[in-house]
Amino acid sequence: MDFSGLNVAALLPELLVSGGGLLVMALHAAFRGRQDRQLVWVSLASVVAALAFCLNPLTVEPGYFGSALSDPMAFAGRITVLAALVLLLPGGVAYARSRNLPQAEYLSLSLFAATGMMALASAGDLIVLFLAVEVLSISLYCLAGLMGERESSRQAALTYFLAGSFASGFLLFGMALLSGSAGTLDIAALGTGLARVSGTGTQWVALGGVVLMIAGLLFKVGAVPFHSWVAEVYSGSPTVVTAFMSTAAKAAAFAGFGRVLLALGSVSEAWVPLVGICAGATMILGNFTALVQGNFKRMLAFSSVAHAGYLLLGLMAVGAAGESLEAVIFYLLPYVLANAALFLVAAKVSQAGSGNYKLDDYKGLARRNPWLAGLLALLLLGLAGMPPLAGFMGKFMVFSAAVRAGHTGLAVLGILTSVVAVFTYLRPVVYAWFHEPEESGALNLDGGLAFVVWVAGAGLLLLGLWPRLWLDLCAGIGV
Amino acid sequence: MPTLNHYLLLAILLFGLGVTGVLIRRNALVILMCVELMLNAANLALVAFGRSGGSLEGQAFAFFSMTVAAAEVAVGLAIVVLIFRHSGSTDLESIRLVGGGAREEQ
Amino acid sequence: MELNSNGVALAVLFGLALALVGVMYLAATYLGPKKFNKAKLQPFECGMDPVGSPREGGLRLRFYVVAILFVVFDIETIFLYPWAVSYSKLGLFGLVEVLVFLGALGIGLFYVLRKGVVAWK
Repeated sequence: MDFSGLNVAALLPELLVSGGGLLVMALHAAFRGRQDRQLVWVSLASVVAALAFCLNPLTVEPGYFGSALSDPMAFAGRITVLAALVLLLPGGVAYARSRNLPQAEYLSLSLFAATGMMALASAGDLIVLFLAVEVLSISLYCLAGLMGERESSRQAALTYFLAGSFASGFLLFGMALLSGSAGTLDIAALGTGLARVSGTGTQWVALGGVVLMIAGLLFKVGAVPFHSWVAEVYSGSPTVVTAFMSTAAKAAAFAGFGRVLLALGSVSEAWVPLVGICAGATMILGNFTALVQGNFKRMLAFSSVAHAGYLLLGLMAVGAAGESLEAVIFYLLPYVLANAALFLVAAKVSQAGSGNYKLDDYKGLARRNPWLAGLLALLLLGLAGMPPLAGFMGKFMVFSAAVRAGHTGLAVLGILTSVVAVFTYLRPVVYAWFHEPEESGALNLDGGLAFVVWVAGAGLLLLGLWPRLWLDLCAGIGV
Repeated sequence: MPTLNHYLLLAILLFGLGVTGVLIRRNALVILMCVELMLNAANLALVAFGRSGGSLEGQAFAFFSMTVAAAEVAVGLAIVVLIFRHSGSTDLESIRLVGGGAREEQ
Repeated sequence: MELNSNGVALAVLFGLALALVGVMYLAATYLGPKKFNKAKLQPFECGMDPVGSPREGGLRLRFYVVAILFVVFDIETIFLYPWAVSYSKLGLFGLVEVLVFLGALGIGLFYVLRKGVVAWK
């Protein structure tokens, strides 16, 4: 047997992170939970090692006979997921400790989920794609139910599990039909395989597979006809887990989705109407539902549905018109940074206030902690897409790619709904700056949370002013 | 002699049965079984395609999806047992009734 | 031809065996004396009268947990068969990969044991 195509180094970031997860589990068991406070350092060490390895040019060659890729998409996906871990793990452990949740399980499951997400971004064939989706989903089902003593968390875990496994069924059956009729499991070769069977009866089986697979993926990213689980799962899960789901998991899912649609460009007339309708409906419904929420966590949940709509628009342009993936890659990183920080801030502000994520908690925040209120405004406006922040560049790139690909109507719809989004995101800012505080007394951030908020804010500003910085880094690493 | 098309038809029927079951049943355990039916329909299609195309890839994929299904069942059953311990039921309607409206995490 | 006659002989044997069992059961049912009393109808339990219904205690959660663990660990052996079949082709690389796989499972098992999931109290 010839092992020259193996190149284990291509999967080293994933191996390091999953190894970190196993180590955390083993150490927790070996010390019977007495050393749990140190485990976060073990986890962070494995994440940093993986980050270092992503930046290492050794991983450029594809590995495992083409199953694990190392192109710009894989690089961007891995960095985005690892950045989310760096921001979320310390805050997440503090959150888990304060609410008496199992810390070791939180850490190892997060690392396993991250392994799946990274593998999803770098999947070269359908087996790896499916395994990656399942590794991340199954870990997230467990994480959603981490607060098992609480009704809301159990409910979220059950809903997420039922919706997620239903979607997995669609995804797998679609993959089976598609790969069987195209005669290959290699994602990049699906297009040529489909061209071979076009005009025969097999073509219909293949197209059925394409539609089922896209439906499964739309379900997983929470796009509109399949979004019913999002509100319950996002608001019921522990906040740090919601943050992880709506940032890293979503970014990875879109990376995998992008790969699939890129390969299916030759049959774009079969799925462009489908995805287009979903994208439009997702933008409208996500933004308007977010607008009327009185609960900060639910508002963020629905706004992440809305962002899924914009990302779908970007993916359509990629798959159907051969636009580069740049727009989607660029959109994801600032979105992840801002959302991760906002969820952690939400947990903190809510704990100090009403305890149930009421928007009213933000009234007069500027009096209690002007820096926090300022950064909150920065992050929210970044998500809304205000120049010069990175969110603006992301939206600008997605919309212009859509216009170049001929989806002008959807791009206009995107711009109009973005205006609605500005109102949504401005509400907490207005509360923070122009309302009298209901509670007096300063609201101080601990060191970890302050670090996260500052890093996210600086990242948004930096990426907005020099977008090429991140894009050139991605392009320079891969092809 | 059954051909590929027969197997595909069977797989599509099984898949449809699974989807219908998930959509109309209200018991979490029955829904879990229907999801398994969907996954196994996919396995059947994979193995049938692999056999007719003479490649082992489909069968390898089926191996992986079987282990994934087992892991999924394990986690799903654990969640259902957790719910059952608190609400005494695996029926989705009654679980929701017990939950009332208060599903906000504190 | 020979196969056929063998098949016939087997079928006849099966039929005879079934008929014999059926006759014996029926004979016992119709010919045997039937005298029931309370003690005889009670479920068998050594020495003392049964207390409560056997369904009352419900199934213990422990059984579910063990069954769930069994499903997971049992299905993982699926990967050992293809490896065993192509052992000589895969060589050292295959061995290392399988050891990594079993190591990951072993850590899982260690975790389960230390958590006391299978400790039968």
